[in-house]
Amino acid sequence: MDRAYLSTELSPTNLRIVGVGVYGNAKHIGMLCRGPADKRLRFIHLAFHGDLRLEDDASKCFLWVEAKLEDEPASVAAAQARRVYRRYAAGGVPYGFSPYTGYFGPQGDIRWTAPGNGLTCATFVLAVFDSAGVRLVTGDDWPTPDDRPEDKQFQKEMVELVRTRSRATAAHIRGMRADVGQVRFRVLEVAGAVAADSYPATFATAEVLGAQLQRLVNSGSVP
Amino acid sequence: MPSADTLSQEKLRSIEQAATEAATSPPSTEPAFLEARQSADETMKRVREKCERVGASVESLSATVQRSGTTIRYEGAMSEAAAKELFGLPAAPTAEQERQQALMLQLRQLRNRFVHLQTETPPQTLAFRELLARVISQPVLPDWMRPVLKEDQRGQSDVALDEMFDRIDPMLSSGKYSEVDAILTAMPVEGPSLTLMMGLLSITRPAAQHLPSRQRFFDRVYRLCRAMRRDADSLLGGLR
Repeated sequence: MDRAYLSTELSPTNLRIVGVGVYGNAKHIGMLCRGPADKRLRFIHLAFHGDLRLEDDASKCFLWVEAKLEDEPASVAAAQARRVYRRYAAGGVPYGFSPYTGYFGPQGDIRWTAPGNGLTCATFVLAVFDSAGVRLVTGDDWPTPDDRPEDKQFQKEMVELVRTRSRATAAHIRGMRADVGQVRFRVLEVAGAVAADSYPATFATAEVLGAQLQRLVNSGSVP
Repeated sequence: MPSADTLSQEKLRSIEQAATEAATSPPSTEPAFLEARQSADETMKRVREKCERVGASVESLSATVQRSGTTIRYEGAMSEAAAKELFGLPAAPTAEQERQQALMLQLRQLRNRFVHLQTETPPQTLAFRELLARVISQPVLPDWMRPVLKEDQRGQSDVALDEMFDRIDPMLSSGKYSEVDAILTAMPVEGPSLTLMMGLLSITRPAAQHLPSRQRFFDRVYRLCRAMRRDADSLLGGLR
C-alpha cells in the first residue's frame, strides 16, 4: 500500500507515470496519466453510457494509486489510455458488462461480441491496462453475481439508469439485461489490484487491498 | 711508369678542356624538345594574359617540359565570376542523369550496409545480386516514422507513442494489415527506446493473427531485453 494516497495527504499531481483515481464515494474509478507534451495530469474515465471523458482537473479524485510498473510499460499504458480516449471520445464506448476476455479486436476496436456488451468504469481501467499488455487481475477466480447478489442488483440498477438516462438503443438495453450476471469487478477491487505488488492480482489480494483502501478512505473522512 | 702527380695533372687538363668546350659550344638540344619548350612559354603567356583579363592574380606560373608531355603549374587566386569566365558553368544534369545519380547513391548506401559481404563476395556474383535484390525489395519505414523516431531519440517517448498510435490505429481499423506488417519488418530494434517498441507491440497485439512479421519483431525485442539484462518475460510477457 505504499503507492496509494489520499489526495488530502499527497496531491495526485505527484503521480509519476500512470495509475488510477477514485471518487464519488468510492463508486467511480478512472485512469490517471500525463499529457504527452505538457506532462499535465489527466483523468480519463468512462463516466456513463457513451460518455468517455478526459479531465484536466483530477482534484476530485480523493484517492489515487500509482501502478507498480517499470517505466516502459507504464508509459505504454498511459499512451493507450490517451489513444482509447482519442478514438472513442465521440461517444463510442457503451456501458455494459462484457466478460473479461480481452477487450480489443484486431482492428484496435473495443470488441463487442453481442449487443449490449460494454464496459463499466472499472472494466474500462482493466481494458486500458490490458491493451498495454498489463493484465491487472486474474479474473477467473472472481466471484460471480450469483455469489454476490448485490452485484446482480447493481447491474440491474445500471441497466435501468442507462435505459432512462441515455440514448441507448432498445437492442443495447436488451443486451445489457442479458449480460446481468456477468462477473463484476468492483471499483475498490480494481484499485486494490493496482495497489498490488505484482500483476495479475488474484481476487484474494484485490479484495484485501480494496478493503484496506476503504479503511484509508474512511480514516480520511472523505466522501 | 708516370708518377701519380703527373697523372693527376693530365686528368685535370683533360677536364678543363672538356669544360671549356661545353661552355663555348651551343647547347645540344634536340629540335623537338626546343619546340616543346617554346610552346610551353607560349601557353604560359596566354594563361597569364587570360588571368589578367578576368582579374585573376598569378602568384606563380611554371612549366615542366618532358619528352612525355608538358605540365603547366599555376598558383593564384580568382573570384567565382573570374572562374566562371575562365572555365565556364557546369552543365545542369539532365533528368536521366539525376535519376542515375539517385540510383547510384542508393546503391552506394546499400553497398555500405553490406560492405563486409561485398569484400567477401564479388558484386558480380549471382549471390550478391540476389542479396541486393532482396535488400532493395525489403519494406522500409514510412516517412512519418522519421519524426516519431526523432522525438523518441530526444527522450520524448510519450509524444512519439501518441504519434505512432495515431498513424497505426487508422491502418488497423481499415484493415491495412500488410502496411502495419511492413512496419514491423522494417522497424529497427537498436536505436528506438524500449518504450516505443513495446508501444508497437501493444497496438499490434490484437491483430497479431493478421501480422506474420509480428512474432519475429517480438523475438528481436525479447532478445534485446535480455541483452540489456532486463526481465524480458516480465516486460514483454503480456505483449506476446
